[in-house]
Amino acid sequence: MKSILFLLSFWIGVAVSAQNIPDANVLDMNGHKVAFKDIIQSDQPVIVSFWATWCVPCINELDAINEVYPDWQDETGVKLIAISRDDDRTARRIKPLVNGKAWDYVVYRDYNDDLKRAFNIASIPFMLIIKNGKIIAKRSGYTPGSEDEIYDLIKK
Amino acid sequence: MKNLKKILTIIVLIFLGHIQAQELGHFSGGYEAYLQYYQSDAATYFTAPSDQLRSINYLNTNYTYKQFSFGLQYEAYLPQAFLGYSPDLKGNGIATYFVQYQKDHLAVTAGYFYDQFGSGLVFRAWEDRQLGLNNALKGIRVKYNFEDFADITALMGNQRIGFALSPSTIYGANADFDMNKLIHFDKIQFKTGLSYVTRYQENDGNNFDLKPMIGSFSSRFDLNAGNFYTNFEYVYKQPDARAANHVLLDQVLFDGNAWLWNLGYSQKGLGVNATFRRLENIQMYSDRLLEGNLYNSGVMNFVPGLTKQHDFSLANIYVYQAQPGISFGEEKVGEIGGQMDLYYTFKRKTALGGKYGTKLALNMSRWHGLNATFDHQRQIYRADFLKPGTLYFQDINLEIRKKISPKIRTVVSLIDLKYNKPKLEFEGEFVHAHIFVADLEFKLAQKRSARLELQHLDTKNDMKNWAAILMEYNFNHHFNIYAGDMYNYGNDLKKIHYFNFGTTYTKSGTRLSLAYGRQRGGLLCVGGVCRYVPSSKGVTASLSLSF
Repeated sequence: MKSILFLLSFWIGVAVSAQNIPDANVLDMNGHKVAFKDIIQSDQPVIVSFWATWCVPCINELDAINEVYPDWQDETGVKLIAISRDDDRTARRIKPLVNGKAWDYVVYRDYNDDLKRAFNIASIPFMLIIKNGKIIAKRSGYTPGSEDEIYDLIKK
Repeated sequence: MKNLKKILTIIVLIFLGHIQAQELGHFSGGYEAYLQYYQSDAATYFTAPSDQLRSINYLNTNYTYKQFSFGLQYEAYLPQAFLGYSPDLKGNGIATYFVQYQKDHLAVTAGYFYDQFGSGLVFRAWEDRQLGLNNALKGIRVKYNFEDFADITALMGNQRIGFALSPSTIYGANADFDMNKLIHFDKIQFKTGLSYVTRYQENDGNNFDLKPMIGSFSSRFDLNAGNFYTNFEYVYKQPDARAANHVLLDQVLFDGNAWLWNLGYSQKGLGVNATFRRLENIQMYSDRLLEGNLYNSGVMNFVPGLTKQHDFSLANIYVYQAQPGISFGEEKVGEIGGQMDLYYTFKRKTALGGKYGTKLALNMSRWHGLNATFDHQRQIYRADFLKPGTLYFQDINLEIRKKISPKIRTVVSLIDLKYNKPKLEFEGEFVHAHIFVADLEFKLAQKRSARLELQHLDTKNDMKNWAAILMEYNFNHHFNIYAGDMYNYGNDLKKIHYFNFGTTYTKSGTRLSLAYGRQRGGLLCVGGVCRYVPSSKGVTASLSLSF
């Protein structure tokens, strides 16, 4: 017990490096495992949005961004990756929902909660903004109009 | 297994010593805290418990160095957990820890881990903090991927129950095959999977003739062809004794099974999905005596209620929980039913789409008990395969989302609900209710915004009519205040205001909230798994941050 507490304090002591991208797999829409590291690989900014089919504010946010997404892409080359936190109870809703809403995002599923644990996501919506493989911003929650702030961040 | 913690600590220490000389790896973590102050409340007959102020804390740390990662989770329930949590969650200490080695196609984990086979009907170990659920396994897990054709997992361990471990050892193996790597199909993607999970539990001191090793088996396939997709899973559980309230029930052993079939079609602007499921005695516990416990302790598989998870309070008064178990007293042996979803977008500049388009989501679910005949004398039953028995639950709902102007966005939800309370909660009357929800979002100047939620539930049964309102004001994208009330104005016996007001502050992944109000007692369900929350009143606060 004592040694573990010692380790804990040691780890907090070495918490100097920026958070890296965890080794975790997600499922694509056809059920294939893909490494999270590979899907965020891009020279352009990447937005990773954690959402779920049952989360009303998440859908509000993704609906709102979808309306301006073509403009964002033209101006910044940004790519939005929507990672669903649905478990097997609601996972079958993802595909029809994404298509039914005509979203233009690439969609994956955090099927074993590995990303949730790696990023300590307590609640969704939760968003990461990544540039050159580095997380430059994290956001939690959605309020109408907060998509404008995201745009300012990716444009920088 | 007892020395695992010591061995892991030594491994970690050796590594840390090694790291000093080289580059530091990567460190990350998070902290989540929930605080509750209980107040006695005459209106709901709630008496504050002995420890009025309680907190639940989770501290997570993860460290990655080259191919190795380490993690541990510290949990503290001080001075004790909230009302409705498992009594096993008490005190504080290191709750879970692990070391993982990952290279190319191999991953080896020692310590606590989470995993799922298939849809989880045969095995799932997961954490849900809102439910106070953590059924991680402590042991060893090896995963190997053969040329992307086969994904193999083998594991063994004891399951976490509170800060202790299950009296049984669980062994499991899973294989998922991507058949496209074997045979080339044109435009078709075909995958299959097999799992076997078994529990070794000694028969301690009773006169039941039980085998210590009782397992379950899952086989499944997954097919994608153009816009169509379908998947199927069958699970069989070997005969086991039943238990209730920590006592084995009778000498008759029962096996169990589950059938899950899903079919969908989607193209841009339209998505349809239908699911059929039949369950018969399929819940599994790492300790057979834990069957039917209120806290989901020792649950080994994931049997969620397949209904729409509504996000509005009045739609969560009558929630359906899956009915996988056997009860001779209630003449229940499982459930059969299905769910259908349809998503459709009316395009912009059409009659129904208007200027910004209109989005529809239609959902229907209907669940029955299995039709069965019971021989109470011999304690046996006979269930039909497809014939539905008593109606347990039905939900037909339509959600319409529409942007009215650049500043106003609405969600309207209509729900028709049938809830067989006598069969599901063993009390009260059959409920037929209609629910209406309107959610309006207003974008104001200078990053300000507001939200108004209006709800009404109409029923002649149970607690009769309810009305609810919620108002939220966002000063900017970080700070908001809200106030709401839920009122069962139709109730003849006692009309109660379940009021609530509070504030939240968020900044780059950190979230702080504070609220005061009255909590309605009932089922709190997350991901189709439910926990009973008693009625209470008081202050709640929460903090979550990651580093």
